[in-house]
Amino acid sequence: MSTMRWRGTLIYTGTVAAIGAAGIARFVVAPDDATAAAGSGSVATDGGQGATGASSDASSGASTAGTGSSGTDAAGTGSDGTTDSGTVTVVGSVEPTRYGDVQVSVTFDGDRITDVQALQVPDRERRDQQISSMSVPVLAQEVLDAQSAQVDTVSGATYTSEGYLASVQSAIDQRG
Amino acid sequence: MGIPMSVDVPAPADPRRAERAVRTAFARLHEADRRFSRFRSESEVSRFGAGDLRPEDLSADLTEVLALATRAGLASGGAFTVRRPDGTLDTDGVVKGWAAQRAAGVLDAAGVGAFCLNAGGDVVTRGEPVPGRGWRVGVRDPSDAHRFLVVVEQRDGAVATSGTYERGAHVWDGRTGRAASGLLSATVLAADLTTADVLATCVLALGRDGVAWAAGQGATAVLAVDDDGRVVGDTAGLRLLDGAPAV
Repeated sequence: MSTMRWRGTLIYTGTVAAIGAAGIARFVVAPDDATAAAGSGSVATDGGQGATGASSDASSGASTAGTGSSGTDAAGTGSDGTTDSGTVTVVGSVEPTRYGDVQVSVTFDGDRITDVQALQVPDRERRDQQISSMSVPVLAQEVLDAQSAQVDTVSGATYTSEGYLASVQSAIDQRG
Repeated sequence: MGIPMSVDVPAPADPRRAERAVRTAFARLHEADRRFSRFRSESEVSRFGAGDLRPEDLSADLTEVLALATRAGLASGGAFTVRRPDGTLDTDGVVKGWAAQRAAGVLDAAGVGAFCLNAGGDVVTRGEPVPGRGWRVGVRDPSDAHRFLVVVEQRDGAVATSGTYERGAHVWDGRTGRAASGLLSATVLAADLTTADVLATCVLALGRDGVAWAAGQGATAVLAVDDDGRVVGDTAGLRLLDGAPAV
């Protein structure tokens, strides 16, 4: 396939503004063509938003926390160049949010996302638990739905996703 | 809170040009954010809301947004307003769709013929993701994140959804000053996202009566779910995908 798919995700971190406050923009080139992967540097803008990066050993799924900017490129992470088909799980970065840290793992089969699991969700308070239990499954499903064969994107009420999507995005970034 | 925004550009003829256009589009969104954030005391909206700016000192952007809001307020009989019940100026009901539509305009101007821009659940589409079919936009069921109410297929157009299931009752009815009631969600299709987004907010504020009303205001289709989970819709303009649940 020669289709290239750009996914630029702009993640804002405000409170309840329609268009949040400061943000991070990332452009991820996720080509089906493996040869292009090496050049798929993602870029992060708006300094000061650097997240803690975490890279994973694909076979064990264990994560090793490392520090890196949110624009870590595929070569700099532990998710060694598995750009062919095959299942690989990549652990996303730890994203600090108002409610606590959020971290996910994303499983790819080839270039398709087949699963999103929350590794860390805020659980310090009852309210946090409610927010987490509500928004994480919702967002996981939306990530899956949005790239399923049936739909290209999802329209829904504005998400309340502070770090969740940032962590998903970082996993996609690492996957390249 | 974070509002994720994404742009998918399938098979761009000129990838570098497309990427530059996406960067510029995102820069426009950042710019709108700086100008319209209620959470930055130095933003133009905050300063105007606090009475530090006179109407004649406003930027063209804020003037345009306020004009859109005034028009929506008149058309909805006062249900839509940018004044919160406590008097704070809150342009969120207009700005997100307007800003995302303007970002889509950047991509249009750069000749990006096919794209799907999703701004926190509000969508602008152009062209086709693969030759021969339009973009498939799933509209989330407000009570079940694992289901879609419908899947709409469209080429050039916009879909906006306003609902209470993610952020609670954040839309109020300007006629009463109380939280909007009656509907869990409202989805509006229109030619552009500025129209779709403001209409979706209006429908939520108006309640069930808003569904028929929006059809006369530029909506090509309206789909809402009431508090009892019933689907209320004017779906004559919807092109549903085969196998999508009947409405």
